[in-house]
Amino acid sequence: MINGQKINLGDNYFNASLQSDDFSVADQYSSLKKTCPAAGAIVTFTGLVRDVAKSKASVSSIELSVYASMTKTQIQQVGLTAFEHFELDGVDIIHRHGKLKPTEQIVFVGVASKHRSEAFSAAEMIMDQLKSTVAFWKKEHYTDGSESQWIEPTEDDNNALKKWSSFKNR
Amino acid sequence: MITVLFFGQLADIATHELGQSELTLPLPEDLAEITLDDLRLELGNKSAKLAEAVNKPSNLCAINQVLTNENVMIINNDEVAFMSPLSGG
Repeated sequence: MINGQKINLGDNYFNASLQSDDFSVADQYSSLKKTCPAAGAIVTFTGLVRDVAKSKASVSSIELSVYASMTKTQIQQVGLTAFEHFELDGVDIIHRHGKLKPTEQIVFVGVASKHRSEAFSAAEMIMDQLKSTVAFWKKEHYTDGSESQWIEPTEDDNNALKKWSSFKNR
Repeated sequence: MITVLFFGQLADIATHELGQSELTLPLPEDLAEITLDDLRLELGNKSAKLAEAVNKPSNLCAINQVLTNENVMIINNDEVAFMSPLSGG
């Protein structure tokens, strides 16, 4: 589903959600497990808000802003690209937006596949794409009251993306 | 009318310079379309600082939610978004 709308991918399960609400990793894992009985592997990834910035400043919160209509479409495209390039039974992507505090969950990626290697690779590809190709902007706020900073992609993020440069989002 | 949106750091700069991060601009009376570069020049008339930020090569532009690197034509009711580098996850 994308925000409640079921995407027809045959017997495959696909959920892509953009939401401000938190999610339960256990519930998402259970859904994937239940809807993908042929899967021999489920890989899940959860991204969290860190309490320390790269500059070592203590983070009080982050603000994730979106271009809702474009962001939703792009998350969906990232999921469809994963189906196109890997043999998958199910993909579940949830990305939150709004103001989030340290230790809060930002993003969930769950991938079900017959075999683990496809599931690991697809989960990594989805995360690398979400980091740098989808319309999200992240602003860090600090406990010491210093000026908030917009976070830009790092060299590591850009290098990670290069691995998938032959993949074109649908 | 053209809707012009700013995201990320560009939204902060637009709000600082123009008091808002979303603009509605009319097409010039005698024109059915303008280029993206025309729009960038028009932004420069409103705020040189905003235009300078928008024109930074690391920033992105989307027309009707589709990213573009070209100097495309913009027509009535188009939505143009100027965006700072993306940072999700």
